[in-house]
Amino acid sequence: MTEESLAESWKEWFHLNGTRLLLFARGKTKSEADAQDVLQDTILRLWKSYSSPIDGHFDPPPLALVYTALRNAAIDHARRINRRTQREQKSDFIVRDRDQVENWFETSSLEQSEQAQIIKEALQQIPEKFQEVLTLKIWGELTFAEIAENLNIPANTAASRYRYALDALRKILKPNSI
Amino acid sequence: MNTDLKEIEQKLHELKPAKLPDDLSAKIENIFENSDHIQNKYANHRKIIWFPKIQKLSAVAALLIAFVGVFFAMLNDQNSSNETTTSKTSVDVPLKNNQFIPVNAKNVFEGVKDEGLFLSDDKVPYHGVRYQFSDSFLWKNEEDGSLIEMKVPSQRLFFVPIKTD
Repeated sequence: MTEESLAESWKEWFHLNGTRLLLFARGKTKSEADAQDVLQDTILRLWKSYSSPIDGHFDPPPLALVYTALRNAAIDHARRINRRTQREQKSDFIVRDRDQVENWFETSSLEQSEQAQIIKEALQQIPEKFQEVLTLKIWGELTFAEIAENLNIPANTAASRYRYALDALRKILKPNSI
Repeated sequence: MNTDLKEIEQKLHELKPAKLPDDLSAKIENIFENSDHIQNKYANHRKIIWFPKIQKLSAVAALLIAFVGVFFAMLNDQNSSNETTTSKTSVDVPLKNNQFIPVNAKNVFEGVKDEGLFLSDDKVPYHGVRYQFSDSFLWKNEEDGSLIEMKVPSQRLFFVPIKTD
């Protein structure tokens, strides 16, 4: 496999999975800029580790592994940000939010756009441990077993968290329903 | 799972993650264009390390020093093992021939000599008295009864302060 065709294979793989990876990164970070930084950093690391073709074939990293890498990168990034913020606060810097309002979901109509915005805000309100399971299950298309391995929790816990996440969303989206 | 939850799940499934921002896509595609690290990987496999001449000399010198060190260490071990044997012999074998044993020692007073008066730095007068002795030592060989006698003259000088008041 030539370097050009290898690069093409990676691009194709990224076009297939990039949106869901960014969505996961958005859920794990506090801002759009952080999410993009984390995604870039993760892809760069994976590219360096996985870009050597084995037996002349393109061997993409398993999605579960990519999510783990994203998760770890987000944690590292958050630590760095915290340290930086502390430094800036000590030196009386004003930290400006450079993020624009980003749509987490594809929308084709105004109504759909509003609904997507409501769900995005609801997702941001529920506990992070529920949100990540929900994101991995619905948009990451991982099984509970894969999620459990990814988060280092039992599969039953992953399934419970998924249910709690849906329930938490229900309470936000349909507060009057029982 | 109740209907509300199923409904929410359905809604979530209907939503598709938004497309990536164009600038982000471009940046990430650039990552894939850069294949320097692949070349480096292959280059590492093929890498032959040529030592410069000075390094060759250093390596030979180091080997030589190591060899000499090992040689002397072995030699030292051998010597120390010989020493051990000798010392064991000296302890185990009883004293036999030509061994003299001290049998007598005397300290004989031979006389006293007046050394006169001395004045010390702090103006105190002293009377000097020299005592003369003869120290004799006697060794005997148990085997043949031969004797060795040694006489050494010795003397001791005393300064006795004189009362002036």
